[in-house]
Parts: sequence; C-alpha cells; structure tokens
Amino acid sequence: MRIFFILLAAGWLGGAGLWASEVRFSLRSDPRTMDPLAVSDQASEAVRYLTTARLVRVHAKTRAVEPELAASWKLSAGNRVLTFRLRPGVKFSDGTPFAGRDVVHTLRALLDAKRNLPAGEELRTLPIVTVESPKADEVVVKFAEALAAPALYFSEIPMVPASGAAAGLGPFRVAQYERGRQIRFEKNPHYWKGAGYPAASAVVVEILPSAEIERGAWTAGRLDFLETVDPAFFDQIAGTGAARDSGPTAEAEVLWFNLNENAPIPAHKKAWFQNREFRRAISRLIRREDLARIVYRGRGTGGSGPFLPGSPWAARRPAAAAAKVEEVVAGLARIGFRRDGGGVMRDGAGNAVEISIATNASNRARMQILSLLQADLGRAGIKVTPAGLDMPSLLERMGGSKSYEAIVLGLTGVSDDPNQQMTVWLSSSANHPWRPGQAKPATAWEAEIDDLLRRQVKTVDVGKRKGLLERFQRIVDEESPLLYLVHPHALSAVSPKLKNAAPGNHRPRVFWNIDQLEGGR
Amino acid sequence: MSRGGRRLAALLLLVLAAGPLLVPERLAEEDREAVRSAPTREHPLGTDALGRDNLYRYLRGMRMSLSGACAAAVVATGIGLLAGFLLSRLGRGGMAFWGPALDTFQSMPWYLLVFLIRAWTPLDTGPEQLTVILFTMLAALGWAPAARTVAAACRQLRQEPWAAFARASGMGGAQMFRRHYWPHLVPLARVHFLMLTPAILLAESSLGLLGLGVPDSAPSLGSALTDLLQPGARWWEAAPLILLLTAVLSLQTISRRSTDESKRT
Amino acid sequence: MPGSAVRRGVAAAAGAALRVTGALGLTAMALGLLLYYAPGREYATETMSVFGLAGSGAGDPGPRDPGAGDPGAGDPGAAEFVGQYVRNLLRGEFGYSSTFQSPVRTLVAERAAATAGQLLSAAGLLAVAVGVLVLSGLWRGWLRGWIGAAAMVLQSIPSALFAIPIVLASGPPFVAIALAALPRTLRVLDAVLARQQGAAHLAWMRAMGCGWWAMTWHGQIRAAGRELAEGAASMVPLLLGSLLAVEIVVGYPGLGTLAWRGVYGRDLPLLGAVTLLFSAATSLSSAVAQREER
Repeated sequence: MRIFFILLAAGWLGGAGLWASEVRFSLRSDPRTMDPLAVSDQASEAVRYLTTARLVRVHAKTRAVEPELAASWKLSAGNRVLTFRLRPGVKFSDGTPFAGRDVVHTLRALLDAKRNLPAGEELRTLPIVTVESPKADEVVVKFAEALAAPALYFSEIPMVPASGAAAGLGPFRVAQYERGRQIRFEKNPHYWKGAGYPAASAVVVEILPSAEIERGAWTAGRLDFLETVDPAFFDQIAGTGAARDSGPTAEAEVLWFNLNENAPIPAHKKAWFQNREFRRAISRLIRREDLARIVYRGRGTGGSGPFLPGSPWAARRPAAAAAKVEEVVAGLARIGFRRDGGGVMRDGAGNAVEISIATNASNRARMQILSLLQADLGRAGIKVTPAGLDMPSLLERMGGSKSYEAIVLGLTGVSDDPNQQMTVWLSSSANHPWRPGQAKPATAWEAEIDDLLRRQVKTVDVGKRKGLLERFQRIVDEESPLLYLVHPHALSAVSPKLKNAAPGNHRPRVFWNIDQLEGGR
Repeated sequence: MSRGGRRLAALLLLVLAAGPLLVPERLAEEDREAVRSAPTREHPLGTDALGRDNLYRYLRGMRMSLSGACAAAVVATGIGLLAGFLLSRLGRGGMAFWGPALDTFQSMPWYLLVFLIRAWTPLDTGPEQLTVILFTMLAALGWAPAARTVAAACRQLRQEPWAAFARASGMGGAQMFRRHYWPHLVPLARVHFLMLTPAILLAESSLGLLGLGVPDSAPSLGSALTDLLQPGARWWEAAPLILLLTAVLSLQTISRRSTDESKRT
Repeated sequence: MPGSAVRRGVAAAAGAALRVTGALGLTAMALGLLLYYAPGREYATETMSVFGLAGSGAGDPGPRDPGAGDPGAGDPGAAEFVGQYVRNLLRGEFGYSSTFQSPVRTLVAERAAATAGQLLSAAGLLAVAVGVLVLSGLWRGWLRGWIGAAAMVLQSIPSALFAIPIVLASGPPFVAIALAALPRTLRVLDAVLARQQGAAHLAWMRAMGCGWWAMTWHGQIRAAGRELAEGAASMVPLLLGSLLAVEIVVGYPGLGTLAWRGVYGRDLPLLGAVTLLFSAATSLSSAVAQREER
C-alpha cells in the first residue's frame, strides 16, 4: 500500500511539473495557425515568439534595436541600402544551417502582394526595390527612397527556412499540442545563443479561455506568470509579491463618433458628430482621471493622445483635463446648442442630444467606462445610452452597416513607435475607426495627417521628424476624431519563484526574455 | 409541507417584492467618492465598483427579476395552455410533426438569440426595454413543456365517458373548452406557473452569470450575482445569492403544495 | 406474447427514429434561417486587429475561410442559403471552423468524446451517490425528508455557480454537472420509489418474507427499470443545459465551450454542428421519455 501511495505521489509530481526549470503560462485561445508568416492573432503570435527568431529585435525595456540573427547591419547609399551581416553557424531546430537564402525567401514571401501574408503588412508599406543575398552571410535590401530607420521594420519578422520544413530558430520548439488544453514546448537543441540558453528545460502553455479560469489556475499554483491581469485581481494579489505594475502603455481605450457620410443615422446627429466643436465639447466633459481611478483602480493614466506623456515623440502639452460644465455648455451654446428648462441639452432645431455608445459587452471595464460617461455627459444634459454588443455585431456595425453613433474600444498592439500608429490614422486604412478605408481623404485635416505620417517615415533627421509628429498631434487635438480616454497600466502577475523575470510595458510583457526565464518548482 | 410554511413563503415573497420601498431613493445615484466601500450605516451592504449602493441594487434587482419572472411565467403558461389545447386536437399525424417541432424549439442555441436580439434592436434601446425583451424571450422558451402536458391532459380528458356524452349531446368545441376542459386545466396551469417562475428566475440568473443577462444599468438579480465572480469578492456580496435562494425556495414551497393539491383533485 | 413485444419494440424504434430525423431536419432549417439573419456573419473576421479583444474574454474572431457549411460568401437569398446549408449537411459537410482553423467534423468528434467522458463520469457519480443512499437504507424516514430539503436548496442555485468552487479547486467539471443534476435525480427516484411503495407485488413479497435487499433490488429497482430509464431520459435537456454553463465557467474543452466559442466568434458552421448534435440528443431523449404521449 505504501508503495502505491509513493507511486501516486510521484505521478502527481510529474503531472505538476517535476522538471524544476519548466516555465508555465497560459493563453486565452488556441493558436489559429502554426505558420509563422500567417499569424494574425495573439495566441499564434505567442507561439511564434517562442519558436522563431528575427534578424534584429527591439529590446523590451530600452526600446533599442539589437542584433539577433543579424550580427550587424549598416545603412549606405544615402539611407537607400540596408545590409545585414548574418551571425555565423546558426542552425534551424532541425539542424539545417541558416543562411542568406532563407532571409531572401522569407522577405520575398512577405512582399508578395498576392499572398498578402499578415506578417508582412508593415513591410509592404516600405518602398523596397530588391532583396538579395550576394553571399551566404549577407543580405542586401534596396529601397526606392531614403528611409529614417528601416531596420526597425525587420524586428518582428520571423525567419523561416527556404526548404519549407517546419523548423524554427527560436529558443523552443513545439513538442506536443493538445488542442483546447495545452502546448508543450521543448528546448531547441540548436538555439543560436548557444550553451545555457534557453534557461528553462521546457515551456508549458495552458489554454485557459477566461480570466476567471486563469485566476483559478494561478491560485492553484499551476502558472508561473500571467501576462495581463485586471486591476481587481492585481489588488487581490498585491500582498503576495507577485503583482507587477510596469506603468502606462501606449495602448488606450478610445471613443469615436460615426463620421461616415452614408451612415444610417439621423441627419441631425450626423451634423453634431461632424462638428469638431461638438466633439471637443464631449471630450472636455469626460473626467478621465475618474476613469483611471475608478475603472482601473488607479492603475491607469488619463488619455491625452497617440503618445504617452513620457514618450520622445509626445508633443509638449498637458493631458486633456475635464473643463467646468458651465464652460462646456457655454461653448456648445456658441454652436447653437441650448439647455431647456428641464436641463436637457438640445440642438438648434430643438432635438434632444441623445447618443448611444456601443462597446463589446464582455469587457467589464468598458461597460463601466460607459456608465461613467453616462454620468459625465449627463451633467450637461446629454443623455447617453450604453449599448453592450457581442464583438462580431460590433465589428459589423463598425465596418459594414456603419449603423452606430459612437463606439468605445481599445487600441491594442500599438506602441510608442509612430509607424505603428499608421494603421489607425491613415485615412485609407481599414482600421481608420471613424471612417474606414477611404479612397481619398474626406477632409483636409485627414489629408494632412496622411501626409505628415507618410513623410515622417522617410525623414531621417530626428528633429524634423519630431516636428512633423508635433503637428500631427496638434491636429488630433483640434479635430478630436478619436478621444483618448485612458491608458491602462501593464499589469502582470509573476511568481516569486520565476527566475530572471523583468516585465515591461510592451507585448509580450513578461515572456519577452523567454530564453532566460527559469521556473522554480 | 405545513400551511405555516406556505404562509411564511408567501410572506417572504411579498417582502422581496416590496423590498425597494424600504430603502431611500437617493441611494440610486453613484457616489464616486465611495467606491467599493465596506458596509457602513449609510450603505448597509457597501457599494459596488461604481459607488452604487449594494442594498439598493440587490433589492431593486430582486424585484425586477421576480416580477419579470412572474410575468414571463404567466405568458408562457398562457401560450402553453393554448398551444397544448390546439395540439391535442391535431391527432396522431399532427403530433408526428409537432413532437419534433417542440424538440427543435427546445434545442436551439438560445444564447445566440440573446446576442442576436441585442444586435437587432436599435442601439438606443434603453435597459428597461431590453429587460422586457429578455423576459419575453424566456417566456417564449418556457411554453413548450406546458404545451406538452396540457396536450396530454386534453387528450386524456377527451377520452373520458362524460366528454363523449357531452359531445354526443351536441356541445361545440368552444363550449366544451369553457365548461369542461377549462376547470380541469386551471390547476394544471397553476402548477406550471408556479414551477416556471423559479425556473425563469434561475435562467435569468444563469444568463447574468454568463454575462448575457439584463444590462448592468437596469439592476437585476443576474447582474448582481456577477459581483460574486469578481476577484476579491467580499462576503456581503453573497447577498444576491441568498435573495435568490429565498425566492426560489419560497416559490418551490408553494408550488409543491399546489402540486400535491392538484394531484389530489 | 413475444411476437407482439418485438412488433411494439420495432414500432417504438421506428417512431423514435422518425422523431429524431424530423427534429434534425427542422433544426437544420431553423438554424439555417437564424444563421442567415445573424448580423456580423461576414464580419466575424478580425478585420480590425488593432481593436484588441485583449481582456475581453470574447475570444478573437479570426479570418474566415469559405467553409462548405457556411455559404456566407456572396449574398444569396434566405431560401437559397438555407437550402445550401441543409444540402451541405446532408452530404456530411459540416464546414470549416474559422475560430479553430480546423474542419468542424474533427473538432466536434474530438470534443464530443471529451464531453461524453464528463457526462458519463457525472452519471457514474450520480449513480454511486443515489445507490449508496438507497441501498444503505438512508433513503427512509426523517433522513429522506432532510435529503429532500437539501435537494431543494441545491435546485435553487444556478448551475454556473456550482462550477466556481470547481474552478477554484481546479477540479473536474463532472462534479459540478452531477451536483446540478442531483436534485432532479432524487426527485425522479423519489417519485418512482413512492409509486412502487403501494404496489401489490411488494405486499406479496413482504408476505412471502422477502428480505430488505430483495425487496429493494428485485421488488423496487428492477420493477421500476423502465420508469427509471424514462426518468433518466427526461433529464437529458437539463444535463445539456448544465453542461453548457459548467463547461463555460470551468473552461473545459468540450462541446459546451465549442458552442460558446461558436457564438462569440460567429463561427456559424461550428455552432450549427454542435446545435444539431444537441438537438439529436434532446429529441432522442424525449422520444424515450414521452412514449406514453403518443
């Protein structure tokens, strides 16, 4: 009987991770693809991060571009030619050598407009003329015009073998995948950093579809870290030494009005939303510090604009603060709005100002934001109806029927890098929230934003680039097409047993140095 | 179940329904300076994440859910009675179609419909209207079992000798229904109503727990229950669960008594 | 007479088959219509990757592949859409799941096995609990009243709540499913046993001096076999309902979470297949449970 119990205990230990250095974390959903070039969702991106490597990478903390598979790189011919010198002796996880032809294969696949691979979205915006590998350890990329810092564009491009084999250059490789349950990664024996890397013997990623379940697994001690936690849980674990607040992120919760001319909403509402003074008045009624304090429990920063106040690109101006209600009402009076005897705000034609604001109902924080907006705008007699929808319905209204008045959603996957903001701000972009996919800019200010952002990509001089971005931010401020409400902090939970963890405020937040992390079970 | 137990149950239900009258209206407002406060004299059950008084929310939610469930149960029972009576007249061929139709009805993905209803209704639909729509949907779900039992009861009644006698004496369908079937169906309807009300109350709570219930701005028991799921939930936030238990147990107590009576009759 | 019993059996099986087929046909058509009018079916694409679903719990609707069971491409009329949908189903084409990037058939087969495992475990747990109660003789006297009262309290709790302690303890979901189904099981059993109490054969057995075991096993449980089976069948919709709630809360990778993801990601082929499976189970159970109706 005793032997039986010992065996049972051993089995249990094995299940719980007998390997001392194993690292365990979780993803919300199954990866949609294992093809590194076809990744478009967060789960697949995490798998890609673990199993592939890039030519260069941006350091999670310093934001400096660092060598990875490329030992060095240089710009020549007046910033029109970028030459990467590859690290010698690098091998794929199947033991085949990595060379220039693999880089050329990867880049050409991504540049192919017909294949339209998601990983090449940013790369395809560059004026690339040729990609060649004159020597096995050299790759030359030629541009049609001079670019400011083109190496940055290669920092998220995973290198895949030209042979088409399912092999990667990352610290780990997939050992076992049980859909809906977990993915087990084992060490890549040929990892380019050599002996001692990766530090962990294996990585186990559990698929846990909701925050509640994730918290359950964390409490049970099954996970070494949680990439993101909500402020409520953060407060709960604050005393355990596991809570990490890495400060505000460039990601933001934003509000915008429907500016589509053909939107199926009443003409008078369209007229309000098209009026920039109206948009600015709404913006000034919002008490952003309350959103940060109440919804994010003080672990958020009131939104001011596309860049965080500390960012090198941020314009020198204070964060948007709420104005006195009387001032806003007076401002609205100048464009024909009046409060009636009952305190209800009405436009020049006597229509009561009532706005429905939609968001995805499953996000509790966003629903709370709507509640607070209801009270904030209610102070000026403006009635807000919160509308919680499921995501597909919301996307359908946003991009398809355009049948909405205003929406609150989060901008994620944006960083302080101005180039990453372009998918939101370019008028032709499908992600241009208030009026997506325009054939040509509908307004002069949108045309100017397009021009400024396109020019800053090509501006080598940092001072000049700053100037362009300063002007861009001024337009954003004046026109207020996108109201930045709050920048949530990057909150994560890290077990004190996890070695070498140094969470940052860019994604991935905790496992950016996965090759150095070591579990302490 | 004793008569005293039944009276106590009825009294409890009455108190739950009248609950909101016991707390002052000023507590309806959100107090941004008292967010997530612990119980105080002013807020006996503390406040929620937005500074709204919990006691007020829970009692309002209880009344909303209870009245919604009762109304939905009345509607469902009514539809069930009518549908059951009509089904009973269809004969074997009709049932061959309606049996599968009822199965289909019961196995549709109703949670999808909850999403779709929100997606189809205009965005400026207020929380009160959405609540009505939700309970209407629950009523539409509840009629099928009632229809089944009513149809079976009607078929049985039709085979009784007195029914044959009444038909032979030239009594018409409407008259038959009014004079003979109706008195038999009323106790059945009462049982169904009393069984459906707690079922709908529970269904609304489950939808609320899954985040599909009544919108947060219109307090309901379902949305109040989600407080319990939040990290760091405090013991007094279990109050909605106790209210739910009280309501459902009271309803079950009464319905059991009623079932026993209807069996005796 | 054995001949007539066989005939009755065949007729009952044919009736049940007809009923299940009918229900499946109607479900497919109703589903087709529902899917046709579902807004956002073409926008289940994550066209706007920057509008993150991080922390939304919504799962991320992914790029759509034109699935065979999802004639969402182009813009057919409702009748054409439903017709195409039903034709595809008849050909055994359930389509491709955009959420999981996998054929629906594979997914459903995988998950159905997992869910069946949980359901069987729950049934096993229930059988053991009920068996212990009945066979140990606890199901008598004042204890029976208390058990009845406890069952009533259990019945007043939404099944999703049963799942919360399971999540906290990282336990298996079948415990929560069994807990949710326990009150109804006890009620069915109580009713059946009570009906048996007054039966003539029991009085006869008692007079013959049969022991408690023989009375319970042969006199009550075996004699009520058919009634118990019907009672068990009538519980299928309840089990499916609590299965859904529990799986979602616990995050167990079974059919319930599959349907849930189908709804959240507007993954219509996936949702359709799971619904059809649930419909088959429901109609089969009602065919068994309501034989007396026809």
